[in-house]
Amino acid sequence: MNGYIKQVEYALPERQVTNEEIAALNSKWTTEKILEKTGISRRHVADPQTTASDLAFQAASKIVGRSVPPETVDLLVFCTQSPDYVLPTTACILQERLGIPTSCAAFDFNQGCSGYIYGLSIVQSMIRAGQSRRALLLTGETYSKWMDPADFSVATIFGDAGTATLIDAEENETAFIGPFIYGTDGSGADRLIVGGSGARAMENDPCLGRIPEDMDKGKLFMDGPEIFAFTTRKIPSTLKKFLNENQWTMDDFDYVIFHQANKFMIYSLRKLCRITEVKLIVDMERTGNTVSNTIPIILSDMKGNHVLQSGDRLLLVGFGVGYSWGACRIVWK
Amino acid sequence: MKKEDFIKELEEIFIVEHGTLRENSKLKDIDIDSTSMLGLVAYLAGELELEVDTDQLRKAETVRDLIALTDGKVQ
Repeated sequence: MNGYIKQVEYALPERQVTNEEIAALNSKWTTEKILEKTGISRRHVADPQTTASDLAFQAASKIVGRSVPPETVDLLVFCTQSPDYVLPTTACILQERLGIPTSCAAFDFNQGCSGYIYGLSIVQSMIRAGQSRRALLLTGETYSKWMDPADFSVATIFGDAGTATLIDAEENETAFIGPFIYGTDGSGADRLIVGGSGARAMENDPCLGRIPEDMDKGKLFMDGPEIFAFTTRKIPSTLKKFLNENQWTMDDFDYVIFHQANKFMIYSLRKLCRITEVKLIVDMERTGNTVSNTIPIILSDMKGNHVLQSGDRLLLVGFGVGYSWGACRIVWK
Repeated sequence: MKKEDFIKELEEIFIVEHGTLRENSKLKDIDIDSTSMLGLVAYLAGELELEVDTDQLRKAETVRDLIALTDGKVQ
């Protein structure tokens, strides 16, 4: 038994924050400079009443109850770092809202920019183990709720979104999802962090030591340059290992989709990984960095624009907060 | 790469007028925000293919210090 991606949908909050709005907060910045530096012209931001699970629900509703009867879903996995509550599990709330049967397995997992790779791996593993025949992999993120709008290092980059990926099982020896490769380096945990967001008190938390004195330690902090440096150190060698282990070259892929972190990072990785321009998909100008949502948003757009064809081989690569990174191959069915 | 060309690249990254920077220019005199720093890391890693240590980068006080971090790729 193997899983394959049958449908991908996404939802964005209505409100959009433009570069003009951000530039108005700081006289040193211009709309052109923000676009040039980030590759982003606008990002969608959830209103105070809308959560990541609401966005994932909107995306899932484009699948469940339309092309897919809810009673056929037996697994619901939700990737988020913006859960509705510390407890209960947000996936349980989504199961009820989507009308999926109570016999379904549902759980959250906490990953950021590598989350979609992890989600595909979890679902594929459960399908191969005979524990699921139809799964919904949901991602949802609202980093805007942890951000200081005046902190340009994050306000210019991040946007909110939710996605839903329907993965069906099939009696087939061909693996449409996988293999995978992963990496983890917790020494970078303090480079992208929200202090006080869990059980650890902010007072004397060594993980918050890098945050400048004049910054609110309870807000999203990002050391962008170091995360960039980590990515350029780790991702090229990881992909080289992945290709070598599977006796592939970049010629064995029709498209490469990196997590859409920012323009500089994607183009630097393209150069370091020797990827031709035609294979590299870049799509972040109107949505920004939506964390675990960036890769499925691209897949959905590629499908919607009739770019993806049956048999296309894609290399998906996620990296960031944690540090955590991962890559996998998928074949579009 | 020649030092003059590297300095021109720095001027682009830091968005300062051409001819502004010299080897002895102090970085504290330039308004280097986190995004400009990110651009610098992107250039060093992507174009010069250097393994960048941002802690070392942040300790740099002058353009000359930045050149010293390029492992001889800028001369």
